[in-house]
Amino acid sequence: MIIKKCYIENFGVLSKRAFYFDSGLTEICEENGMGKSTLAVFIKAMLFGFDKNKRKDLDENERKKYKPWQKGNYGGYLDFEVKGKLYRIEKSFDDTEGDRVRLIDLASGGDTEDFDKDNLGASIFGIDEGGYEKSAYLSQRDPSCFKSDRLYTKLSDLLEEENDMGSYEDAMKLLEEAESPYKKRGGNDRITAIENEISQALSDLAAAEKHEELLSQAMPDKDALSKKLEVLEAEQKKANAEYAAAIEWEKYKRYKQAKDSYEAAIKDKSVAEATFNGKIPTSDELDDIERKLKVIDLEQSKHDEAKAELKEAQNKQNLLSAGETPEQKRIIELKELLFKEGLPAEGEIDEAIKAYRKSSDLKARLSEPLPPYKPDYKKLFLGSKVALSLAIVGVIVLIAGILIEILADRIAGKVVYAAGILSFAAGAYIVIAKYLKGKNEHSESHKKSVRGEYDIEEKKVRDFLARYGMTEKDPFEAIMQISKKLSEYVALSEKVSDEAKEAAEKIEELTLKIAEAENKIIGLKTEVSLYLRERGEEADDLYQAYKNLRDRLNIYEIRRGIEVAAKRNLENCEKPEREFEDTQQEYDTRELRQTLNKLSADIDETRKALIRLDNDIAYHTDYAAQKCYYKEKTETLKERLKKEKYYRWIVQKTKACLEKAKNNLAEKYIGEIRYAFGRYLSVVTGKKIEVLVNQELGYEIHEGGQYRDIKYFSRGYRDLFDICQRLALADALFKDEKPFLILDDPFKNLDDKKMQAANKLLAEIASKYQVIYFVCHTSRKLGLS
Amino acid sequence: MKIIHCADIHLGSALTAHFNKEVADKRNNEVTLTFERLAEAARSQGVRAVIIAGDLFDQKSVKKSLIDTVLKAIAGAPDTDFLYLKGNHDKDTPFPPEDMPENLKVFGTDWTYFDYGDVTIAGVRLTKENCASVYGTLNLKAGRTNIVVMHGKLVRTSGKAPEDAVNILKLAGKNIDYLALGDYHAYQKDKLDGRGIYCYSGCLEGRGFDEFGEKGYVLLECKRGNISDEFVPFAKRSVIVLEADISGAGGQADIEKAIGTAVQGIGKENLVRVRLTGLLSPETYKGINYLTQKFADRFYYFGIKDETRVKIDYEACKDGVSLKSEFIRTVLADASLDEEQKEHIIAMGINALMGERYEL
Repeated sequence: MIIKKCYIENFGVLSKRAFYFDSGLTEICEENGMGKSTLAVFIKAMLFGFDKNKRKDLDENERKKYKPWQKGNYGGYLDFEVKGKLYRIEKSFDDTEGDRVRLIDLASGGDTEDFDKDNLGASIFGIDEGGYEKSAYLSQRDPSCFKSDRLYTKLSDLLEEENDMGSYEDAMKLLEEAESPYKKRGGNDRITAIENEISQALSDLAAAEKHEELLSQAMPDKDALSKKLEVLEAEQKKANAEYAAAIEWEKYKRYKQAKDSYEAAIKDKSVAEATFNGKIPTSDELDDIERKLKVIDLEQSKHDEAKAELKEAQNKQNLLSAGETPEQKRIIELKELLFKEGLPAEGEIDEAIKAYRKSSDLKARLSEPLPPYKPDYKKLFLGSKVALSLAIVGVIVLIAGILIEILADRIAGKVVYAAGILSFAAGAYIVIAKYLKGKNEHSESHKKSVRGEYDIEEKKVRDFLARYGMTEKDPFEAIMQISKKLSEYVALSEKVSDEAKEAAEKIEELTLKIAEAENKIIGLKTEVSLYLRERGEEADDLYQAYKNLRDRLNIYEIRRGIEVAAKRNLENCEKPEREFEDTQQEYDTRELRQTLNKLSADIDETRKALIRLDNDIAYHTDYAAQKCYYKEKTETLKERLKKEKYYRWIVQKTKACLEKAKNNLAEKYIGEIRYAFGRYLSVVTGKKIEVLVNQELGYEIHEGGQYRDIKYFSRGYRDLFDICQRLALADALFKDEKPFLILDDPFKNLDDKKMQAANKLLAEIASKYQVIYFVCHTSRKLGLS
Repeated sequence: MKIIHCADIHLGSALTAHFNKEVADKRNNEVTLTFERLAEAARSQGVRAVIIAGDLFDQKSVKKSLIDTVLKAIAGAPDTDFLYLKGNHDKDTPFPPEDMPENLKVFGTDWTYFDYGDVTIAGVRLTKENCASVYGTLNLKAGRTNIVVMHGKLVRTSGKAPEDAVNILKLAGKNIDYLALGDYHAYQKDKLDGRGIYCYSGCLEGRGFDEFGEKGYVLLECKRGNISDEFVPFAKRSVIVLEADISGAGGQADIEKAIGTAVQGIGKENLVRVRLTGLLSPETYKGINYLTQKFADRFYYFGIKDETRVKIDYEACKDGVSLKSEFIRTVLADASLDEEQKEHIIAMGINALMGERYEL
């Protein structure tokens, strides 16, 4: 590729600038800041566009860094030649509308698709921007900046085709990851895991086959057991028939026995029944008889008791009649002592007590002061007409006198006045005198009255006491005593009276009672006796007769019960289907039963065995049914194992081939690089230099009889050597379409002598490459363009 | 009179060769359910006999519960006779049990005949002992409608056929109107002789992707001495295998589109496998796992089988200056590898260089 012309519309500091390039060396010497590096970046942007990163650091975001400050189109175009054909790449960078790119065939003037316009550099050279930067573009940065990179990384960067994102290392890492499941230790790898699964599946399959085998063995056993069951069931059937006959015989026997028993019971009952003369007593009737007998006993007891009581009452009555009772004797005594004259009348003692109390009161009053005189004032004032008249006249005259004194004559008034006073006073005197009189009379009469009353009462008490001969004693005490004695007398009298009455009543009552009892007893006895006789009991001792009857009834009841039971028994007995001869031989039902039981047990056992066997068969069947599953599983796992082994082998083989390819590549290019490197070193040093290049693109220079590390050399030499190395790399890599080389002042560290060597080198490469050489100092101008 | 001819039901199959255990179990149950549906259909349609031409069960050992299910289904159609011929898979299966339903009849190792009106159905189980002599002992009247039931693969030989093979050459001219066969799992019929035809009914349900296509039974109508046959699709689900040529596909998106086109119109209830074929660039990422999962919801079961080949531009990499080219050259130069291995290694290596995992 040859760059012909570069037109910058606006890019960084450059605006509306055109640059023309020779096919060989184009030297551009300008001061710092004039845009040399900008031009280099513009060319790179035309070929590769901008990196799409959005980093803020300007040094890492060239799109932002070179955005023109002035308005206008951000971009430009590049005219270039490839294989004799002229093209133009136009680019306009626009963050809003998007970048516009055109690739124009300058001969036709129209757009062309000979190359990918969006990735022109890669399309033409087969390298991406990174590869371009590392090879064709030698910037001012340390030329040996990639020295530490591995060769294959550089190569892969340089040699990556479009859209190829991987690298050898990443690829190997991916393959390692793919292989890692197969490399785990301790039997944890995938292959071992599948083999273990196969083992397990085979084991399961063997188990299923074993179950199938057991199943095969179980089936004949089942047949045998089934046959055995058949035989047993046949025997059971036969035994059942015989047993049935035995049962029938037993049934017949039982029925006959029941029938005989029933007939015997009827007969016995009839015998018992006959003793009752056709009148069979009932239990209730006998209970009634018993009750009556008890009543008879009871009545008899009552009768006897009543009789005793009657005798006692009669005795008492006799005593009372004779007056011989203690009470009667006491009454007589009291009469003798106190009540010869007769008993005190009702209320007399109370009167005596009252009289005593009153006399005591009166006596006390005699010594008490008089009660205050309270006259009847109305009568006192208004009762005496004279007094009243005088008083009234006196008031009138008084008033008249006052009036006269006031109104007329004082002396006359006074006189009248005085007359009035005198009249009133006379009236008042009469009243007072009346009062005094009354008071005296009151006092006298009071005394007289009290004394009189006292005497009366006193006499009453004395008279009372005298009647009972108790005058010497204290009156009150004497009255009390009399009262007490009277109470006693009365009480005793009443008692005696009551007793007599009671005795009479009792005698009457008892007599009645006795009569009733006797009647009752006779009646009941007659009744009971008749009842018993009718039923065949003739005994004087009714109770014994009752007992006998009761016994006979019990016997009858028992026999009747036996008859009922025998009847029920007969009814419950199953009627035999047939009759048997009496000569029929006994069946040994016990033995038959035992045989049947044994057969039943055997059949049961056999059935259980069959069930167990069926269960076993089902169990084996279930497992055996899994056989095809395990078989398929085994096959599937084997297939999978095969695939996994194949996959592992493919991964390993891929790794091996990739490594081999890497080494081949390295070997191929190392040789070429070594040759080119040696050649370029010879140019700069003027002598033949042997160089050793390793796969990491590290190199050693043969100097002083041995290969020496680059670090042994001076900085200037190292710069030169690195440039040679990169040129050698470019030589090795770009065989078809040579790229242009941009050297952005790479020799700034060289001294004059080495600068001459650099000149030679540039001349050498300019013969093969289009070289665009930027320099900012005239001392580094080459003067070759 | 209606008669159903079915075969190769293979109840109790494992099915894990094609599906995981969960799907396999479900599918197994569906096969059993289809048999039950068949019995119910026979009952409801008044079918006089159902011919089961072998391999009712998949293997010798069968769970009792499954046997009970089958017996119950048969007993549920008491007016329909089930004529059962054992096949090579179920010849040792302990079925039917002694207490089998009355309407279940079994063909033995000698010709067993069942008459229904003017129709005779004869069947025999081929064994090592009878495989040679059986053809000579078949006795069918010319005036009746004759159906013969056998199980085995077809051969035509005048010599001795293998014991599990049906020699149709020796069955020609035996007054057979319809030879009801079992063993082959796809519906197939052809002329037997001048009078009759032979027919494989195929299986009732496809059990794997090797049994794709319509499955069902053959309904025979016998009327006035004539017999007509009609295949009745009866499977609950179809097994469908489709091909999608993804040659030149740029990536997963293109492949997805191709699969989408291939499965268009396929019902949700089916089991679908898409075979990817064609030549692909080794850089093309297929994303098989992702695509399988993406389409899984659309069908009862979905799988992808990658049968693509890697397209290697030998010319481009001959002189290519790249690790990739060098790698390809290295692999191609290895004489110890066969073509397929080379393709796989190259595809894996290229994908690794692209940062992608490659699955075979």
